[in-house]
Amino acid sequence: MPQTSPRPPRRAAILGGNRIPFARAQGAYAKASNQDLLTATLDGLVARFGLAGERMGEVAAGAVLKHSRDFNLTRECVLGSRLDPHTPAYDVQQACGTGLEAAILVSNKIALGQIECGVAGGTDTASDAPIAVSEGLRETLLELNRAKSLPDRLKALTGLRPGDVLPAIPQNVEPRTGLSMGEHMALTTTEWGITRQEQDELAAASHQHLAAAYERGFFDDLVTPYLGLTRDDNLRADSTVEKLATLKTVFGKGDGATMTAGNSTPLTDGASAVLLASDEWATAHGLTPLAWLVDAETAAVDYVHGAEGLLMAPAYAVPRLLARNGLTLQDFDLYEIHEAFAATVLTVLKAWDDPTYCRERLGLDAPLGSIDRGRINVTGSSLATGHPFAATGGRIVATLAKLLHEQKQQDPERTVRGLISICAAGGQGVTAILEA
Amino acid sequence: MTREIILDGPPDLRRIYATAALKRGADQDRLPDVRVLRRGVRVDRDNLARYAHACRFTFSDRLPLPYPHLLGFPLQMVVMSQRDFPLPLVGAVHIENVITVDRPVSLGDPLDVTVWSERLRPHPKGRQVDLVTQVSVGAQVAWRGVSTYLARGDEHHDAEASEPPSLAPLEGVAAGPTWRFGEDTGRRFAGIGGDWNPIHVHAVLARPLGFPTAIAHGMYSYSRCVAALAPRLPESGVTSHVWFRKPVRLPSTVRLRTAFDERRTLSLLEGVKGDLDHAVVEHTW
Amino acid sequence: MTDLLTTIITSPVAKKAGVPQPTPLRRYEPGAPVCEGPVLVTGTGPYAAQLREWAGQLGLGLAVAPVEGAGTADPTAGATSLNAPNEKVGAIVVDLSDATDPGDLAVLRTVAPSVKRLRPNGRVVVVGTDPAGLSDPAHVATQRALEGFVRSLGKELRAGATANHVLVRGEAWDGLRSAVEFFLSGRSAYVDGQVVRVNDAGGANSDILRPLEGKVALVTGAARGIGAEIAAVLARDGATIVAVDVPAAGESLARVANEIRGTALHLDVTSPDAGARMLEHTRSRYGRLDIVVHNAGITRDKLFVNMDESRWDSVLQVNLRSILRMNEAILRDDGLGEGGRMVCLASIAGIAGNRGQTNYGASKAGVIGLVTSTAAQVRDRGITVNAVAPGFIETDMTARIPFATREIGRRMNSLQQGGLPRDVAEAIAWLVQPGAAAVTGQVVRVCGQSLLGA
Repeated sequence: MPQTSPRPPRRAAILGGNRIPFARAQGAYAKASNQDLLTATLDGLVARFGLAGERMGEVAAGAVLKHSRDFNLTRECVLGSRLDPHTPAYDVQQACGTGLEAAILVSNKIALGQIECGVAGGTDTASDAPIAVSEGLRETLLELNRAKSLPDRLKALTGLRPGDVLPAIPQNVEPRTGLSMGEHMALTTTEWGITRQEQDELAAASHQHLAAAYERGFFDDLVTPYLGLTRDDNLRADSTVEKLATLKTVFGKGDGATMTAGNSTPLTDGASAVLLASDEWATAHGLTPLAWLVDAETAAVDYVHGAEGLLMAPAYAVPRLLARNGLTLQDFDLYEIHEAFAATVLTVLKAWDDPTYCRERLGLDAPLGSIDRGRINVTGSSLATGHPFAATGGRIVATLAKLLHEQKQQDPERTVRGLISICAAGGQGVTAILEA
Repeated sequence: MTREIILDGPPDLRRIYATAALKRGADQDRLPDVRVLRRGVRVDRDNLARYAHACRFTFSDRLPLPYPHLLGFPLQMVVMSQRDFPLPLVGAVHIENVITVDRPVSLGDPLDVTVWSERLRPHPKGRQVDLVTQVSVGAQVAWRGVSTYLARGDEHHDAEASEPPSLAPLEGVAAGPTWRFGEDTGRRFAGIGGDWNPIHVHAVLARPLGFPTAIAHGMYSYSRCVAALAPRLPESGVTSHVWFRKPVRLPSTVRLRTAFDERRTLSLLEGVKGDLDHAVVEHTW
Repeated sequence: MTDLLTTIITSPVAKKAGVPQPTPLRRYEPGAPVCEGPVLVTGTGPYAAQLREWAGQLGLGLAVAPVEGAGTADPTAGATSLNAPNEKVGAIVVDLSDATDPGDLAVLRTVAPSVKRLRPNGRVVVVGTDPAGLSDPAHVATQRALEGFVRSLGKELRAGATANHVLVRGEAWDGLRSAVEFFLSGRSAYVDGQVVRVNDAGGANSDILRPLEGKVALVTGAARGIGAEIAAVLARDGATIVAVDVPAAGESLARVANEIRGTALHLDVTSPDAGARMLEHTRSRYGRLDIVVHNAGITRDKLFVNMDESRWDSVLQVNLRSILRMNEAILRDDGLGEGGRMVCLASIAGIAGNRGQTNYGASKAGVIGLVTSTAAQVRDRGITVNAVAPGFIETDMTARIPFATREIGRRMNSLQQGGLPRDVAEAIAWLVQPGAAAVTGQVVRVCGQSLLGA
């Protein structure tokens, strides 16, 4: 019997990406569905890389807010796109980590030689969110469906209460605590003593960096307009700390409240996709790898009873990732830390620099230390672009890959390295290392 | 003398139906020499989104192939409700439609929509006429639709009727997209397309007109077919031809079977049990 | 029901009232005969015999000119005699490239009966010798006279028929054949009253149906209108397309690129590295670049005295400066290769001028200068550089012009209609063929012989 031997893993290259401009909810994409957004995004990617009619190894993508009819969302989008219909696809969902997790899945299959190329992505629309019937109505309807006779049906209907007919609109609330993500974050913000000033500074910088990146044409080959929108419409190029300081707080209680609509991400509609492949596939298609996805780590925290902040999981994932790769926190040229809230970024940075926290929570002998702030989110992040949950990962992966490629061209002899950290609902954090 | 009727906005179809419902059609063998047009029409984004989602097209700023028919349809009604138009407005059956796209049309394009009638001719079961809809951007005809309507009446056994191509390529195509059209399908599509012909609205209104139930709009069934094929079709330089057979009674479940060729698709929309042929759709490019 | 209708006008049918109705133009269909036959090839010039043979090979059917009141002496076997009074002719080609004396022009008179029988969408092509290479006054005058004849005849022809003029310089059979084929075919539907010079460069299309097979073509401004049509037509003729447009036009650009299985490249042609990025893209994806069409352009109309700096600058930057700058990269030795083709979009406004378009007119006239000088520079490398100058072309831009103005614009030419983006694209598709190697430094107007700019 011939025996198969495992192939040695190889690198998965990031060849580029595409996203549509992100739109504030109920705005430019108010009438578009997740399927519309992701299909448009895939078609933009197809055009940029000449993939019309090409069979990809797979497309992995997902949405956080999803209609039940979208159970096979990604495959439906592939079938509606200009990709070869023989391209398999599946849905991924890991809250705000969806896009990055999808990229990790695709890159792992490439690394193992199971596929040669693939697309990872995500989409979300807060405008076209699924509205569910109330639990009472749902149970009644299911009962009605099971009832065989007319009396049984009538009996089922008697269980219905007036309040049951009101629809349940999805909320950004943790099911186990009943707290919104912002309320969770406010607890952590207070615990770590993150000031309003710091948060507003970070928010203003995000807008300014994003605006500058647009101005220099950085997004020319990362974004394809959709429904007439050419730039993220949450972007306020003239954002300043002074202007942000005038906003009222929306999360937290009393005088200690620091979180505003300006230093929190708004509800947003959008989609993104990343093209990954083996080096061989890239060469055969005349495409230059921008960077390689070399490793990833996902962590989760027990936030339910307050032992840890909901969005602190990346703090745990990163040291594990560093240890496995023999790196320190300072060994990176660029950092992409998802700005769910300005305070999210600030707390995790503070935590990594805190000897007690690092020792007691992360089990480290010494703190990871501080990071050069000039290397974080250099082309802006979610506070400026907005945050269509599942689309954020793809936005960040493509952006960082291109940034690393730019740095590599400046200094071809050196390995340039970037770190991605994305916090997600459910107390999860997805992190990854990119190299060029 | 060609009369030109220039409209500033879409006509109110409910009023046309209300006033023309009892009209029998003028007793003559000539078509009125009239053209109805609207200039500078802009597509309504929300309506486009509703249409796209109802028919399962991807919503973007490019108009789906059949969509301009919705812009022309009210103008067709104006032509057909002219006092001297020889066919009755209500009761005329849409039996065939040919759409040719010469250039793709986008949401922002200013469109000139012109409709006229031509080729009044006998049909084995009565008389048929073509309503031509032309959509131009500037003087460039971007989209052209020819809708053939049949009014049942005196039979003409030697008259020619357009026959769909042979369905032989479909032999061996065992499956295809299957859709459930609910009882409210007609009302929902009327809300989008504006065709409130009572036969589509409700069984109660359809019965006096000879239908046991309400029936789906031909344009709806056809749009679903085109949407299912859209990713495989070019966006311009394509001709889409539908022959409507038996109407889709609501509610019902239908299936689309398609044979793909290099520059052609041939599809049959049929009852899911395969017992009723609803429409034959052919695309060539 | 009149209350529904805001305006009802009763108008006579334009045709009955004597307003000329435009004839639908015959446009190119791959695989269809070059033109309707039969073709009458006549004249005293040295190419007449070759042209006759070539037309026969194409299966067009040859015609023999009617002879005044005589029995038919038929010199060509199988040719259609035009002595029957109702016999139609599809095209007339007259070679007078040997004419040296005004008296030699009398040959033109002999085709008059055939012109009378020209089919709708018929063609007249007159072959001459480029007077620029001649010195004897009588010789120059005679050859120059042909141009005046062609331009005047173009204005007399009806029903979509056109008259055009090919000038040869040297042993120019390949170029002549290519130009005559273009003028006979539907590719030149909206080209009328034009003069094209062909030199002695040799070249032929190896694949008739897909003459651009294997070529990589880059088209700027490809997201909409004329640019999108150029991309589609070049793709139809076999080229692989890199479709370029500004990032803001990306949604349309993606559709254009996907439909023809090309790639979309988002860039602003005015950015300093635009040329380098185009080269980088085409070289890395396809390993070569054969054809560049500089189509991107903008208008910012204003009367000269009211023109602000930004209108002036932006138009000159996008329409002219950007091409000069991109060409620095594209025409380097490692850029457009041997046998490369470049076409720039000029405009009738750059030839005749247009009120409110001092900036645009200047930029487009500049393009013509750029084309003639660049053509001379790169001729040794087998690269041709030409301009196509559209007249009134129906696009979503012209659709925004008020109806009456638009109607006047589209009628002010011999064909009495506006052209289509496709007509511009077809002219370009011809100029970039391998077979059109002999055509360089030319400005081909696609204007239906506009009354503007002669």
